Amino acid sequence: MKTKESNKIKIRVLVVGIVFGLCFSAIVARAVDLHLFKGPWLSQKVDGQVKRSVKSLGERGIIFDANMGKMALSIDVTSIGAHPKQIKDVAATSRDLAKALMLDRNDLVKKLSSNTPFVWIERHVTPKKVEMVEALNLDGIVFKSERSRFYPNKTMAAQIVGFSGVDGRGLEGVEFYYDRILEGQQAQFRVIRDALGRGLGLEIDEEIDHSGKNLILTIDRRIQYIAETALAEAVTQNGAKNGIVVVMSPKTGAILAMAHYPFINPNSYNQFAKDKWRNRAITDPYEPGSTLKIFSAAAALESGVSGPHSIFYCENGAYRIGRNVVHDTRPYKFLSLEQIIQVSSNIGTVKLSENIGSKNLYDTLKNFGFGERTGIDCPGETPGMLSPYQRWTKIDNAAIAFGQGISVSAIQLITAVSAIANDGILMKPYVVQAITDKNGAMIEKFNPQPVRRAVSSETAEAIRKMMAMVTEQGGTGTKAAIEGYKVGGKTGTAQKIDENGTYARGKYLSSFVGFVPVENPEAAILVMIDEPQKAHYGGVVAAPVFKKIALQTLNFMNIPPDGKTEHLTANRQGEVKG
Amino acid sequence: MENKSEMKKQKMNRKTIRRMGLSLLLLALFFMELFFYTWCRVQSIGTGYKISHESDQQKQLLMLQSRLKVETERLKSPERIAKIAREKLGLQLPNSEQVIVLQ
Repeated sequence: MKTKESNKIKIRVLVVGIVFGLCFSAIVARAVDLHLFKGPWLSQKVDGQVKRSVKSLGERGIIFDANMGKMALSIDVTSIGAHPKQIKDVAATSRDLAKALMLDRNDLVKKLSSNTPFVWIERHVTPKKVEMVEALNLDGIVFKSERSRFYPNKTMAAQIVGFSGVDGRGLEGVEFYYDRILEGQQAQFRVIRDALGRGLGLEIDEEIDHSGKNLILTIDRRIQYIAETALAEAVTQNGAKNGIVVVMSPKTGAILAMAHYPFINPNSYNQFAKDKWRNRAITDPYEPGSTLKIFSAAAALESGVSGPHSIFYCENGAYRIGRNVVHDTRPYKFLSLEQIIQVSSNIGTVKLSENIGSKNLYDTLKNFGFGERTGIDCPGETPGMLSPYQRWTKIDNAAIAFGQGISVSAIQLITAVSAIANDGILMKPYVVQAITDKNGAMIEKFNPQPVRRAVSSETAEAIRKMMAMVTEQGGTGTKAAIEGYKVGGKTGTAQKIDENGTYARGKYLSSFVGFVPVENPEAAILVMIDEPQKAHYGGVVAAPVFKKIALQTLNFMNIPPDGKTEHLTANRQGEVKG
Repeated sequence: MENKSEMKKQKMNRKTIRRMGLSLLLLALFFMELFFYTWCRVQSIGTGYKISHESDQQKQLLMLQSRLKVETERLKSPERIAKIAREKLGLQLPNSEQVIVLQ
């Protein structure tokens, strides 16, 4: 009886054992199947559900001035977008958003009713507006963090630094020219999220620096400020259309300042007319007028046809060449070459050009870089216009000698004048002096580049003396003279050409170009005031601006006045406390 | 004879107890491993949340730093400094007679 019961129990245990064994085997088989055969596929599926691949653009490089002051940098901003399909009440959402963001309600209704999965409502929104929209707690409205370019100095050097668009690509100026250097590289991240969408950390695929490179400009924002302030004042006071100032280091070709007026604010470039965006000192050619006479004088000295003291008869103020009559502002009889430059005699220069000959004049102008691009690292440079001398007529030769029938850019003119200041050696102008990485380590340094010798050292010295006479008693540029410093310069008053190709009445380009101190030039400065209304002579309109900029720049550069004998010797002793 | 079967039974019981003990020990080990693994996973997820939170904090602080840098640049602008020098401190540019060269 007992054995029978015991057998029954054994059978039951066996059955249960077999059932459990089968179940366990099924589990093991399934586990083996899941782990060994479906493992990779399942891992992939999980990855797809919890891990999301995000592509992000590395931070755009910073643009610094010569003293490491930030001219352009990237900041985090919020953009507002919408998933139209998730919006329940389009009318109410549009009304609330329009009120908070000050947008057109009808435009918003159109956007929010679209069939696209995502639409931008407004990019790069101010923190205040973001707070207002967040407080509305609207369905289907999302906030995305983006990078935006910011220019902390606002209007300062806007045309030279340029700006970049909403997508972070450079559109103008250095931002455009060095876009490849500044732009960050694509970086890939994997964001791990739980079932509730909460972040569980980041997985970075590659440990590489994706940031763009930084640029260090030659522009010094303090000199830039000096130039911009003086220019704005002059343009406003003279009721002029616009103005340009370029300050260059003649020994290196480095641009220390490049100012344009009217100003633009690159933080809101869309609010300014497109014709104000470009760097006109680089892109626009002008007839230079009398400032070109110094190069005609250089051609005369270089070719040996006359010396600084050679005398020319200036026809008492009117000189006929074929059908054309050339005038001087005052009648002169006999003038030396030095005096021709000092008083800016057109007739004297024409007589000089007849002696020089068109080939010599053309060659000298070419040597100074006219008619070809300087190669400055800014976009859209004009080569200007200097036609081959074989095409010149007698009047062309005469007109070109005093700055008509030739067009030059502001950068060409200041570079050529800098060559005179630099003992006859033409330097390549540049605005970027170095490229650094994110941490400031130097990647590339741009050194000054001599282009060629434009004229001999003796000729350059003679021209410097003539230019110094321009700012002395009896010269046209006395308003540029600075007490305590010897200033070299040349005035220019060019009549502008209208749409019909004829010289427009009452429209002038007043200019002054020079350098200081004459003995050892540290700064070459060009001032151009376009269509001044109150007066139009370069010596009256532009020369005082030159003086103001030169004096402040010399002060800033710690260049003492000439012949300053009073010296104070300072000596610091002991420990400084405080 | 009875004693012999009693002894055999006792021997069997001891064997069963030993086997059960071993099984229980293995089961305990298995559960301990299970709990340890679960604890590790929970810790790992918790740390993941912490990392995520700290990353957000870091991002916020970097944003603040970036805003402060912008503010510094604004404060250092030549326009502002010149205005303070001129209007608050009454400074002006020296003329050439007022310049003394320091050696």
